Amino acid sequence: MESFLSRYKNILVLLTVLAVLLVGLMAQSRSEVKARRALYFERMYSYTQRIYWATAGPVGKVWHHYLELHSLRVQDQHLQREIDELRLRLGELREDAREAKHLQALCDFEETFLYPTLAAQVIGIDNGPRSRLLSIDKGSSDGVQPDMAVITPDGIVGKVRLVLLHSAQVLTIDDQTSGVGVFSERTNVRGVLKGKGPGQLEIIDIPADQSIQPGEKVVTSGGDLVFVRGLSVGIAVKEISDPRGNSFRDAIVKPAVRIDTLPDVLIISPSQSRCSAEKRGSSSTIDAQIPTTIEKNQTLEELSKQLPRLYADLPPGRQSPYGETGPVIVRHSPSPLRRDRFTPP
Amino acid sequence: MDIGPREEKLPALKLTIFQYMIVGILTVLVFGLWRVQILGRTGFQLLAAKNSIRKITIIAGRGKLFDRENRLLVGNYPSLSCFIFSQAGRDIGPDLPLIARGLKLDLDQLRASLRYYRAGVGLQSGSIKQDLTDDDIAFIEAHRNELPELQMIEEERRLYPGDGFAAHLIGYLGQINAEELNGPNQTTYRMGDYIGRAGVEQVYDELLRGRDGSSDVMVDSHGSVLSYSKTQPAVPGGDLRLTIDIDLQKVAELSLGERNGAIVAMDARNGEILALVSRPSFDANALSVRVNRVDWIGLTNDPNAPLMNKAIQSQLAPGSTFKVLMSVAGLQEGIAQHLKVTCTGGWNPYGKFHRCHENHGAVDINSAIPFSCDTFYYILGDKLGIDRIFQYATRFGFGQKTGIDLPAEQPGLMPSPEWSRRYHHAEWFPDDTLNVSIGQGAVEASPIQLARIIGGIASRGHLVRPHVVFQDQLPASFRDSLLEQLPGSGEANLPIDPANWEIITDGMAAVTQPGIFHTAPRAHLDAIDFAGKTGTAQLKGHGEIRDANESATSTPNMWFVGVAPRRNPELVVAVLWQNGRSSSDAAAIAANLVAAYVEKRRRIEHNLPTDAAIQAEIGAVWAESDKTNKKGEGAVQIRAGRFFIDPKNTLSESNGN
Repeated sequence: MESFLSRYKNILVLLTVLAVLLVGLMAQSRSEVKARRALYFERMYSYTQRIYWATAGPVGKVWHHYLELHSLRVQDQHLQREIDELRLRLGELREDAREAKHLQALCDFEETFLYPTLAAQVIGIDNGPRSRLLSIDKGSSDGVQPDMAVITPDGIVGKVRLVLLHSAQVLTIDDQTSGVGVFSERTNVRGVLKGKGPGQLEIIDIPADQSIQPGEKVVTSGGDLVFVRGLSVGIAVKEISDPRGNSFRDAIVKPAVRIDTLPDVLIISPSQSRCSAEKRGSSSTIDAQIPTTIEKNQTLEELSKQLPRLYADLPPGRQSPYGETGPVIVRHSPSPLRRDRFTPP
Repeated sequence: MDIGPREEKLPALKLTIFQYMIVGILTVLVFGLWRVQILGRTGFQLLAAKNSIRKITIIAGRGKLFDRENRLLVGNYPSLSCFIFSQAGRDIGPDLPLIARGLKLDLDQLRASLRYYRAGVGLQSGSIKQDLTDDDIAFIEAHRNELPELQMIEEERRLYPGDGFAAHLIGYLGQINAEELNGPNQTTYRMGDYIGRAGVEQVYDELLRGRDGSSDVMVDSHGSVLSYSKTQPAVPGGDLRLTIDIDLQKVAELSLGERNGAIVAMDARNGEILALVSRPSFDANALSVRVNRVDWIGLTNDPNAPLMNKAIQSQLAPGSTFKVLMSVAGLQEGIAQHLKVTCTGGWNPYGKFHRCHENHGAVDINSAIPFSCDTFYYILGDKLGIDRIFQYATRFGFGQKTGIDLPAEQPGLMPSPEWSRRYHHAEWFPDDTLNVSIGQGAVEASPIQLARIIGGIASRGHLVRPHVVFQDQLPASFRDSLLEQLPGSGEANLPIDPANWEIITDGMAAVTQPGIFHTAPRAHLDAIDFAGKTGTAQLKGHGEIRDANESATSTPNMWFVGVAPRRNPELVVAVLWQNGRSSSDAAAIAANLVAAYVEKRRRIEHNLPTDAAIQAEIGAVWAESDKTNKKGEGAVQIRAGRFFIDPKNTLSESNGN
């Protein structure tokens, strides 16, 4: 900059003086000066203005469209970076909001759930060829014990298998060695849910005379002494033939919980139910919907009907037609049509 | 360019550090390999051993039981049972509380079961619970990792009729105990086997149980089956057809109701038992699955003895039913037909007054049976003497088992002077003879004995061996061994003079006829020749009952033995009502069976009117001679018509053309 000014100093001074003069003349032209002189300077000034505007426009365009773009580009990059940071921040906030919502749901569930629970974070997942295990960040120091049920508000996850001091392993329900007592809500079919691999569940050995409808909700029956009754397991998808070729069928179940993407879980404590009498009323309604008595072997039922029964043919309330304990009632037979060996002589 | 001494040293240092790092990493890897392959060898070998081979028993299906008309009486149903397989190096003791809780078992009983099974050999221990529910299955599956010893095996389980129907006749299954297992020449059974207890299940266990098979299975450490090999199929047991008639058994069960006692209904011609009831009864299904200790103690300590088969095991004074035998003895010895007494309410020949329940007045052999006059039989007994009475009684089967193919039959007792001397070190007195003459004193009999004896007398001396299973379906060797195992009076022919036979059977027929002093007119059945003899067996002497307040324990036992028809009967029924209301009621119970039996026979033989006015419609076309003679001599006329035949065999014509 300095070299430019020093190099073109004389010309610049000249142009500056001319510009001052012109400005002065423009200012003077407003006063009462003789018309000719004013006209002469006005003409000179207008030529200058025309030259100015003739050159200023293109120069300005070049300036605005090209030379000034550099700063715009910089500004744009700056703004873009800012936008990116804001987007990132927005994503984080959304994630925080989602997690907050999830945790809120977890808290809400925990408050209304009948049994005390312990929240834990999933810190690892093991997808071995034969095992499906989750690692959680709660252990024996937090009161976790083997065989405790692990759930989420959406449904069951698995049970605690191995407990360390500050962490534990959870055997998930889709592990091939797991088993859960379940029950279909609408058709009341009870069975055992087995894991067949990641996200794959099947209810096995359904008798041929029973059927689970696709779309039916499957819940825990409570019979395995791990999961309490009524917890969501999944939705029945379809029935398939037993691969062992017997007359039983299996039912594929879509799990209610996506185990692979779980952030947090709840561990059900084995202590007594904390529910109030009010809640106990609603839970007994749930219990009433699920048959708790042992359902009978169908074949046994059919066979027992074939066997002789004493009181089946009698009207309700009647015991023996011959009298139970008091005087014996004699029931006579009709007279024969003709004499036979039983006829008195 | 000259680098300088400092830059030249750095690469060498780095190289050294790098080298040491590599060495360190390799050292760690080698150590890990040594740890796995050397230190952990034993542990991994053990794990591999857990992929073990188990020999699983394929339990043979047990033979079913049918009645005489091939109707199912006892069947089997498929059931899952939980077995414990002992595993080397693993103590299941700490897991027992969890297993007991999960399978809803009593912990003490579970421990006792395991102690029982540990006495056996082999990997397979035994069943700890049968009839697994869905909850049980869920528990086992949910704990496969923690409890790999638990295995579910499908087997066929027994199902008996409910309501205690024919429970004593059929019996039930129970696990073999150590004493039975170690019995002499015992090679058939193994620890944990179920064997028949009581009834047909026990006597015919060898035929019903079949032969178990086996299968070698390879399982992993979780107990999951990997593969099967070397399967030996099971041979199912043979079915058995019983002689009982479900219809008659039902009538007998309902007729006896809740009264304590027993009923035996038998075909007097061949000894086939048509019905056998004992009260109180028990639930065979409950005993076969698993009865808890409290219930078992309740059953065994019940003073009414529900587990006792009173039809063959009760040994009670037969009361006046013994007079039928006395009549035979008296008539065959030529005494009774000439004996005429005047009953004034008793007899006192030796200083002790022996009461009769009525003042019958003039009594002879024809009226003695329907009157059941004690005075007559005191005198008859006195004239016969105990020796002749003993002789006739034992020949006909008193004091001996009948040989029925049911377990634990009791022989009863026929006393004699020798018996009195041997077992009571006492002399025999004439008063004792008088007591015996009316079926009191030391005489003891069971319903099956009375049914056989009186049925035999009514059959003119043809006595049969009672049995509950048709013998022609049994292998000859088994039949022979049965005769050896269950000796008894069996079949016998003791001819009775026809005239005497008629006197006795007519006298028995009069019992159920209306008439003064007749003891069972309430049991009279119209149009059925029904004969029998009542019995009231006092538990105390007459005077003791008169003087003391009567209670249930002092109430006599009521007997009735009836036959239909009176001579060469098809059916003989013996009824015992312990501490009953009256012998007339016992007769009424027998009458219900007789009526049901006769009605069924008549219905099968189409000798009964049908209930509704059902008519058979018959269409016919026939030719008959022209009665009008319009078409000439010899002409015939074709006719057609519809006819209806009503149930009373009357013919009515309709629309004849």
